[in-house]
Formats: sequence, structure tokens, C-alpha cells
Amino acid sequence: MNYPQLFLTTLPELIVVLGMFVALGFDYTKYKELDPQTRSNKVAALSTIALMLGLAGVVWQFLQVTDGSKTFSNSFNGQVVLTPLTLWFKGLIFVLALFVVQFAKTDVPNKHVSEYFGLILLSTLGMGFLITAQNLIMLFVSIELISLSLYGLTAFQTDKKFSVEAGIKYFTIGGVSSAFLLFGLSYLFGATNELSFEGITAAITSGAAPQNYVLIASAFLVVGLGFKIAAAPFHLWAPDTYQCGPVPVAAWVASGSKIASFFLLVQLFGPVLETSEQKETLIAGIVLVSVLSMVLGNIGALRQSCVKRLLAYSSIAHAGYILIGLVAANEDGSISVLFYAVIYSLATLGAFATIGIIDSRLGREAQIDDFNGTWKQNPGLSILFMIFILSLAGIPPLSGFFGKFYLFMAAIGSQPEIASWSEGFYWLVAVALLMSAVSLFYYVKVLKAFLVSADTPKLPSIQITKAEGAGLLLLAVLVVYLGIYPTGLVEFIAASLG
Amino acid sequence: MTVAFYIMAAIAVLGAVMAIALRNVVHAVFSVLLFFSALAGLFILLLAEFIAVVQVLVYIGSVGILMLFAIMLTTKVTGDPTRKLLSRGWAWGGLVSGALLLAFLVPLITQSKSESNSQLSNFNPSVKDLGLTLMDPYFASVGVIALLLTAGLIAAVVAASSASGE
Amino acid sequence: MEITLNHYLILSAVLFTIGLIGALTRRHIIIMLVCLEIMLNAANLNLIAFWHFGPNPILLHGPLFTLFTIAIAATEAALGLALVLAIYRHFKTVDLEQVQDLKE
Repeated sequence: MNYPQLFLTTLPELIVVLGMFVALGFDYTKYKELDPQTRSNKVAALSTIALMLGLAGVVWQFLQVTDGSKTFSNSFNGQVVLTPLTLWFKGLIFVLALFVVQFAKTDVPNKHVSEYFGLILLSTLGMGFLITAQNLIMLFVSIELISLSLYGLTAFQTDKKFSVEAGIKYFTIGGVSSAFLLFGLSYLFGATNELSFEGITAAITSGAAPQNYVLIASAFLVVGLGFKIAAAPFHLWAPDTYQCGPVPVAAWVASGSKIASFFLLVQLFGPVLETSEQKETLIAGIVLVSVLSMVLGNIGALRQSCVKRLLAYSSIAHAGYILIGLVAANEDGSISVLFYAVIYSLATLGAFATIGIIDSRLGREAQIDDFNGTWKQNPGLSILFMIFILSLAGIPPLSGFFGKFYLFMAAIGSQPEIASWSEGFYWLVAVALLMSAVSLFYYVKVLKAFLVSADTPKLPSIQITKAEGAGLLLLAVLVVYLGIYPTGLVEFIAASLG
Repeated sequence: MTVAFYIMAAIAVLGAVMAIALRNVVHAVFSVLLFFSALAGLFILLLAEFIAVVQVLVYIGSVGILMLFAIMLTTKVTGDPTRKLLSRGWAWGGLVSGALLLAFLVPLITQSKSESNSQLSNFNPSVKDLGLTLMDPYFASVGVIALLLTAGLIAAVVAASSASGE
Repeated sequence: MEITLNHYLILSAVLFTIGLIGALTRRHIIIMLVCLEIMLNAANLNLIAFWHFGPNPILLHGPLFTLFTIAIAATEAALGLALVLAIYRHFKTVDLEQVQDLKE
């Protein structure tokens, strides 16, 4: 075992773990007598420093790997595979975690301050490990690390009935999905007798793996991962979790864990879909899940008056859109899935964070009516929120539009010989376009409350902290930037995938 | 071997069925302990003795006790005969989905030619080998398991402690 | 008749199904946790059986994976039971059907 090598490979994670324990230690001893808000500021500052140092570590690794130096050649049986692509996504997860910490610190749920930030950091690490994992053991362990931290975070407000209820629902449904996932992984192992993705892909593409086992494995993996990305019909946990957990946690479930799960989907299914004999069956299954998600998500969102619940249903719909890129089953499809996962996460994190700020100032859950006339009192916040919502809706100058465009083009381009509207994936794209039009209806309803309604404003003028303001502004800039100049990221992903 | 397999399999199925069918929660937990021990027996038949030992230690030793404690801390143990056992309208749904799952799995499993030879007779895996493999390529995963235990510990402490009073 | 891989696979499929039926139908939260453990154990049986009958058991992949999953399942049970206590504090019941205050 090459321990120095392992140390360098996991350096960013080690830094963050160290920072987490320092924060826990200080919180239990030195800060014990302070009031929760001061403690929260101090612990958040420590967590921010830890994440920044970790991010610096990731950047250093990225530079090493792109230089082509051999420092990280050893991948430990595919447990921690550092390539430019995985490092870029790991860095993105760390950046998003930085935002989440800033949003979380103003409204800490109860006296367990350092545990709150500790669980956020642990779930961040889990997502990072999931992205770099190309080994079944590491995959399952890191997925469970993410899930357990998120169950804990959702149920964090133990003095609130709804938070605990959402936590137990998330836990039971998540537990069943983990069992499905493990059952599927066991068949994948049985079919190929390999644990690393490299070996598994080789066994499946060469036809050495028994097809019946591969089919069972794919079916169980679709169900298990469908739960994790909140695709219908496995979405029942999502609305309650997003509505009743702490808002920064909902933002984190909707952004960070989505990126990590879609990255895994692309890595796991991408090679299988391009070659396997079971391609047709698997694609049919994914198409079914995708259509159900788009329809149920968008129709469900129409009826909501609570904004967080509305965003939860819209996230189900977005999972459906992203799966369209997966059924394209080629490299363009994988690129578009990863690209859309990134911009969706940025926009949804921003939207949830804005709602979180408004919720904490209102002292209750924001309904759509509460936003009436916000424009007059808080023009800055309204503009930022408008950018996030319009990007989610897929309005042209913003990045959400290009994300959807790439997804749909990938699906259509995957079957160039088909020209009729009723064949191929044309009908799927048509359903997606129709559902996007439906989604405009509820996005515009929210925006209308913000901008047009002339009633007396219900919200007072909102003071946001510097960290929150800077975070929101940065997210909005990223959303706009990726809309104006999407090719940079797309070309990077394409170059690193190929 | 054959007889041992069928006995263990019967105990496992019986334990699992009783665990989901019994009204008395404590009896249900005891029958799941029976199920865990039957699985440990199957692991021994499959020459994974160390896993069998771990199964006994972790599942019967700790998980079972945890469950019994949780029952004692929360609920009447004998079950309330006036209250329905099953969720409303879910009983048939559950049975149907179970039947569908088996109808999907069994034909697919029996498709492949059944393997009866084990390469294991050629060598005898020791616990030492397992430990070395765990430490050599899989050390990173062991590290992540450590993080997972930390996360589980923190989350469990927060969930079980009441936030309002000390 | 000799015991083959298929015997083990069918046994584990049956056990997984029993666990799933229980998880879908039973209302008691602790029994739901029991069902989760049954399903995870069925998957463990698969792993060990595939390893036993597989072409290269000397790599010890099956027992390794199982060790990890046993550790994970135990952690999950601990967290689940802590959540049960939290639920009981608020609802004074462990009946999942009565823990349904969240409405559409």
C-alpha cells in the first residue's frame, strides 16, 4: 500500500475532516457559553476556511493532473480516480458547499450548531467521493455517507414535528432505495465478478457477462438511483423533504446530491447503454421514468401555493428532462446531462437560498401571495430571484435554455436516420417541450407575484448579510455567464469525457 | 450440504415471514433474529466463516438489542388488537408488487446454467487474507466508512436528543 | 440434488420480496426497519453466493463488500431507531399511518 500516495490523493478531504473536528471541538469547549447565533457565525467561519483550503487542495490536484504529471497515477482499484473531469466536479461540489454554509449560518435550527455544519461538511465529502469513485464498494459507501448525513440534516429541527416527520419519510424511502441499489450492485458484481467500473465495463461490452444478470442489475439500479434523483414514480419523499427540512438543507439535497447522482448515472449507465444487448429494455425503462417525472412533476407543481413545494415538484420535472440526455445513449447525451446538472444546481441553489432568506425573515413558510409587491421593497433580491426562476424555466438568454437545448438535440441527434415525428425520440422531445410550456405557467405565477402585483407589500424591506448577498450575486453571475458563454464548459466536459 | 441448505433456507424464510406477519412487535424482532442466524448458517455453508461471525456479532448482538431497546422506549409491546396491523389499502398492493417482483426475478435467474462447482475448494481463505485485502487496496473505503460512522453518530445524537430542554 | 448458485439466488430473491412486502404494508416503524434489514441481508447473501461460485474467489471481493454493507446497515439501523425516538416524542405513536400530518 502506497500510503503517501493515498495521502496526496485524499488531501482535500483530510483538510475538510480536520476542519470539521476543529469546529466540533471549539464548539464543545471554548464557544460553549456563547449564544447560538455567535456560535453559528464562528463555526461557519471555521467550516468556510476548511472548505476553502480543501478547494485549494482540489485546485492543486487539478493542476497536477492536467499537467500530465504522474503524481496521481494510482487509483486504488478505482476507489479514488482523479481525472480533470472528476476533479472539476469535486471542486464544484466544494464551491456549492461554500454557498450552502453561507446561507445556513444566519438561521441555525437549534443549539446543535457544530453538528449542523459538521453534517453539511460530511455530506459534501460523500458527494466528492461519489464523483471520484469507480468501484462498487466505494460507490455504495459514499452514497450511504451522503444519505445518512442528509437524513440527519432533514430531521435536524427536532423540536418541530414536521421536520421529524419529513426526516422519517426520507429515511424509510431512502432505506428501501438503498436496499434496491445494493441488490442491483450485487447482481452487477455477480455478472462480471469485478468491483471496478473498468472491469465491469469490459466484461459487459465483451459479452462475457450473463445478460440475464445484467438485466436484473439494470432494473434494480434504475429503481434505486431513481429514488436518489427523485424521479417519478419514486419521488414521494421529495416534496415533504424539501418543504419541511431546513431550507439550506433542501437547497443542498436539490443541488449537490443531484450533481453527484447524475455524475454516477452517466458513469454507470453510459458505457452499458452504448454497447449492451439490453440497451433497448433499459432505454424503454428510462424513457418511462423520464416521461412520468416530467408529467407528474409539472402537473404537481401547478397546484402548489407553498413556494418550496413548488420548487420540489419542479425538481422532479427537471430530473425527467435530464434523463432525456441519458436515453440518447451517446457521448453528446452524457455531455448534455452533466452540463444540465451543473446549471440546474446553480439555479435551484440560488432559488432555494432566496426563499430561505425570505422564510427566515418572515418566520414562517413563504406562500406565493407573500411575494406580492416585493419588487418595490427589495429590487435587488427580486432581480436575482427572477434570474434563477427564468433559468429554471429555460428562457433563452439564460443558461437553463442552453442546457435544455443540448439535452433535446442529443436525444434527436442520437438517431440521425429517423425523420418522422412519430418515431425515435422526437415524441419524447415533443412531450418535454409541451411540459416546459406547462412549467412556464407556474414559474410566471411566482414572478407575477414578485413583479406585477400592485397590492400593499407584505414583506418588509429585507436586510441580507454580506455573505448571503455575495453568494446570491455570484450564483446569478454564474447562471448568466453560462448562458452567454456555454461552449467553454461544454467543450471542457467533452474533451475530458473522450 | 443439501439438507443443511434446505433447513437453513426454511428457517430464514420462516423467520422473515414471521417478522412481517406477527402482531407482537417483540416476537417479530425475535423472529428476525432467527432470520439473521439462519443467514449466518448459510454464510458458513458458503465457506465465509468470518462473515458469519460478523453477522452474529453485529446483527444479533447489536442491531437486535437496539431494536428491542427502541421498542421498550416507545410502545406497548404486545400490540393493540383493536388497531389494524396493515396500512390501509396497501396489503393487496404489497402482495401484488411482491408477486410481480418474483415473476420478474425467478425466470431470469433460472435462465442461466446453474453453477455448482466452487473454486474455493482449491484454497482456504483465511481471516488474515481478508484483513490484508481490506488494508491494502481498500483502505480508502475504510476511511470513508469511518466518516459514515461519524455522520451516523452525529445524526443519531441530534435526532434522539430533545432540542428544547437539556 | 446438488445445491447450486441458482438455489441461493432464488432464496435471496424470495427473502428480498418478503422484506419489500413488509416494508410496503406494515405500519409499525420499527417493523419497517426490520424489513429494511431483511432486504439488505438478502443482497448480502447474493454477494457471498456469487463470490462462492464465481471464477476467482481468491480476490475475496464478496466478503469484503459484505463487511462494508454490514457496517452500513448497522449504522442505518442506529440512525433509524434514533429517528423513531424523535417521532415518538412528537406523535406519541410509532404507527406510520398516524404520522401523516403533512398534507399536499
